[in-house]
Amino acid sequence: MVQVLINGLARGSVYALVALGYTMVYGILGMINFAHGEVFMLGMFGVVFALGLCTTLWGTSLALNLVVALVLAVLFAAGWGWANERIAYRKLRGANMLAPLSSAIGLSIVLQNFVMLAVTKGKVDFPHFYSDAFTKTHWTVLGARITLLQLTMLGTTAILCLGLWWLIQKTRIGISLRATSQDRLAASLMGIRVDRSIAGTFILGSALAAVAGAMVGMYQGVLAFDSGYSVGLKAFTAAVLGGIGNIPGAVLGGFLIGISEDLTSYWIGSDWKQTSTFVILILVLILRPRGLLGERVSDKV
Amino acid sequence: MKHRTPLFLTLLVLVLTAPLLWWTLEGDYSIGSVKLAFAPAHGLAFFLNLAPALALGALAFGLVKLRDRLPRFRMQGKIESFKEKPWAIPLVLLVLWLPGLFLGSKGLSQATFAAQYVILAVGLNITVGLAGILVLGYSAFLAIGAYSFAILQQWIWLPWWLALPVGFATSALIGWLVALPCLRLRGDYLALVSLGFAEAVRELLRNGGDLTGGDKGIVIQMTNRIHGIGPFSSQQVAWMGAATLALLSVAVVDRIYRSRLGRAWVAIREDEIAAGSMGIPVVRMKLLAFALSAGFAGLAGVLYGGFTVFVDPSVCTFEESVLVLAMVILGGLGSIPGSVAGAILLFLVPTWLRDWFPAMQDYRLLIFGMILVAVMLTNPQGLLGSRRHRLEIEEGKP
Amino acid sequence: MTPLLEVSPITKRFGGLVALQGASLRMDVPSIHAVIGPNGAGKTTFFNCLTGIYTPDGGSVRLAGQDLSNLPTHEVCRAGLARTFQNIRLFPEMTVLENVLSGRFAHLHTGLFEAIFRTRSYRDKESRARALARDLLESVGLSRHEKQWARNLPYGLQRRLEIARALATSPKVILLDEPGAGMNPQEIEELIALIGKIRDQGIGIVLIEHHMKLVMDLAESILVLDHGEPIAAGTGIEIRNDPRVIEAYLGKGA
Repeated sequence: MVQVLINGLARGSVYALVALGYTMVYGILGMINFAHGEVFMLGMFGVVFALGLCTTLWGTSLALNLVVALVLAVLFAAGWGWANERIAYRKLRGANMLAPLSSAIGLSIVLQNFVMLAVTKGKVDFPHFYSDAFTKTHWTVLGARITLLQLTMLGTTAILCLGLWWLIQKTRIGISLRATSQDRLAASLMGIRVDRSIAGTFILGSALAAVAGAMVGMYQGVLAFDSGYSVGLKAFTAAVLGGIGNIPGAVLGGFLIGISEDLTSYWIGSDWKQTSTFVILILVLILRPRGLLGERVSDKV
Repeated sequence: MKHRTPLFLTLLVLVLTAPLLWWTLEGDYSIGSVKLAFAPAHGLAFFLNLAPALALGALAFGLVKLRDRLPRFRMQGKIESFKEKPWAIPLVLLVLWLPGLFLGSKGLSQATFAAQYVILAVGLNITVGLAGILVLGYSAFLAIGAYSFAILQQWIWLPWWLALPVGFATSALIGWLVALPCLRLRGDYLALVSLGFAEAVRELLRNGGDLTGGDKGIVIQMTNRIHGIGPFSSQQVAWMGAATLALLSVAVVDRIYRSRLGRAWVAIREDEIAAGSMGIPVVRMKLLAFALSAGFAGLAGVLYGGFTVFVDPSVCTFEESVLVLAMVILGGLGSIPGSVAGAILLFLVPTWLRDWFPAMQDYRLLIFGMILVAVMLTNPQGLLGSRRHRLEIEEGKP
Repeated sequence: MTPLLEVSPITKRFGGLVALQGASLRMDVPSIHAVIGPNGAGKTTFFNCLTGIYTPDGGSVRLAGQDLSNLPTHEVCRAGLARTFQNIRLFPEMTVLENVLSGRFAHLHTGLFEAIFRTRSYRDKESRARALARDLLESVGLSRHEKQWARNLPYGLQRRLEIARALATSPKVILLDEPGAGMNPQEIEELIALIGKIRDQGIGIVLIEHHMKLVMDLAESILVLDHGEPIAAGTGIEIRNDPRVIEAYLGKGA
């Protein structure tokens, strides 16, 4: 049982990081960032390709390669996040809600199939050499096994969440993000560059997703072009569960979804994960539509 | 500055796609010597395979531009009065049935599938096009229709034509139940809830044990399939049935569209608060739209079961949902003729392309995605919707 | 006799902010009432509370004896309280005629099956609704534009179309939110005539307006709001000489 909780928390930390991307974009634009799951998937592939690049350039070196690859993957995913905003959202910001959503769905299909055609239809193994160091080291706590990787996942998520909180609450960038999310016109009149704030939100969310992608790649050992789809769906559920647009809510939701998934596998069977996620989503929408930590939103008249 | 945006975006995309496209991974995973190998042939092959589709796309956009310059025919009034004639539907039906006598078996099967997509596109158009609610898991309702038929016919005598109302009702009822918790919220939740629902339905179908037959699915019994009548082969009967259902679906949706219900849906799409203030029960109307939409998918599902003689979980895929969505969006949101044309084009063109360029098979979804993005960016009204739009504005000028 | 519209003191809070505190109104027979006040005084919030868009925290609304508090928006409209919006909310991608017809929704009892089978009764009801909509367009001077898209109408005509659409719901009382905003003096004169005509048909009118000529010409009773509170109520002359009103508009010491 403790084991199930630990696994669930580790998995949940990934959903939390991805859910942040959904909730931040929703907070600032009021729209679902549909291609976010794909950006996460591109981050996963980015890490593996960057590890390959490092090996090609200077050979095998565990720590150095991992750090460099992570930085490159974050930049790669951030670039895709930026492109996502520029292609699917910017031009359609004033249009009917359906238009940016449709273009983002289109983009997400393009990205998924692009990776399928450009890399492989099957699965790609994460280079074991790099992940073994994290998965083989483990401790026993209360009869349960906790690996270094799981600890790293939890720690990284905690540090990134605190960092994000600091960025949003304490820095000038954060002020312009918050101002843009509250009133775009007023923010632009105050000299805040709204286009940049919105692009920045996409970039920030994508960078977090890339880190999550790196960790999932190591954790599961394989990656595929469709990995982003189900993680994206679960992370979105997490964001709704916590209250979409609410940053602590997304983190809480992520952990809850992760735990619920492992509990479902433990009690019912791993074939029922999607169904349990869906049932949770529906229950949240019925019982507490604004999410656990969300505030009430009313339409402006 | 502004005119450089497309160039800048093209460069950005080229740079970002480059690593995955022009390099491949090789080496030994266990000792970490995974290296990148420069593979220009790999990247070139991608573009070469995509080329026919890109050329076709460019041609289509060119035609759309050209269309605006053609003289306009003022057919609107004549079509309206033709639609009200009692003999309109039988006449069109006869015209649709005739080619069924001459088509070969391949042609008949393609035509039947095309008619099935017409039902789906017209049905999805109710929610997405008219009421403005995005649905991403539409194939779930296709599956519910198909499986409700497949499961029931194992126990009782239920020929496909008798199963049609059953499939419609089951899908509509389940659609209504799914939409119920989401519709009180801001509109865009339903898009992802329906997506999650489709995932859950597929999982249920695959893990349903004997009831759903798991991954293998269920075979429709001989007596319940579509089979030949008198001089007509089973494929001819299937085409006649599909064409009849498609035509009736189009007629029914068109008539609802032009009634107070259709006006209420469009009003909700345009401005929910104003619609509510004009006495339109927003939630109830959205539920009706969703249930009807799901019902038409159920109808198509039964047809599918009767025609392909077995159903399996592959009817409920994201790909299927996106395909139908692309048909509706391409044809023009809210335009019924547009949905019909979108369905026929997006089914037949890729099918033919696959015959001519077998390598294109895998590029189908990529191309649908590109179409969605391109249409939204250049012409959010859809390709056929815009024309009707302009036409009416001009006629409306005093 | 039951009053046509009776609003007993309404309170509305948003979090800690009191947007409306004790605003009330009573209209015995169809007549024209105005709600005025500086920007941000809570006038539109008052309308939103009456029409069910906001749920008031206190107070009640009765229309010809029927309690409207806590009814959803569309039920309020069905009961006979229609409205227009300050920032015009037409259905831009519908024609002018369709906009008015959409207001007939609740009175056009055509069901799904009637619509599909185009029964005789369906066609009768539909053509009666169209005739009525055309009459309404005639009365606001929009007949020539019936086939145009609402989004293509000039601003002044959009305001008139909103009034026609609200009238199509067969209201007992109609709430007009700044009907004269952005109109030139000639258009204001036409609007004054139109509003008078609506009242003469036996429909009560409550209007929010900044244009003082319109208010003074038309309103039989005026309610003045400031910072969400009613500071005065009465006829035009009473309001004009009320020191608190002068203070609210011009500031202390004026």
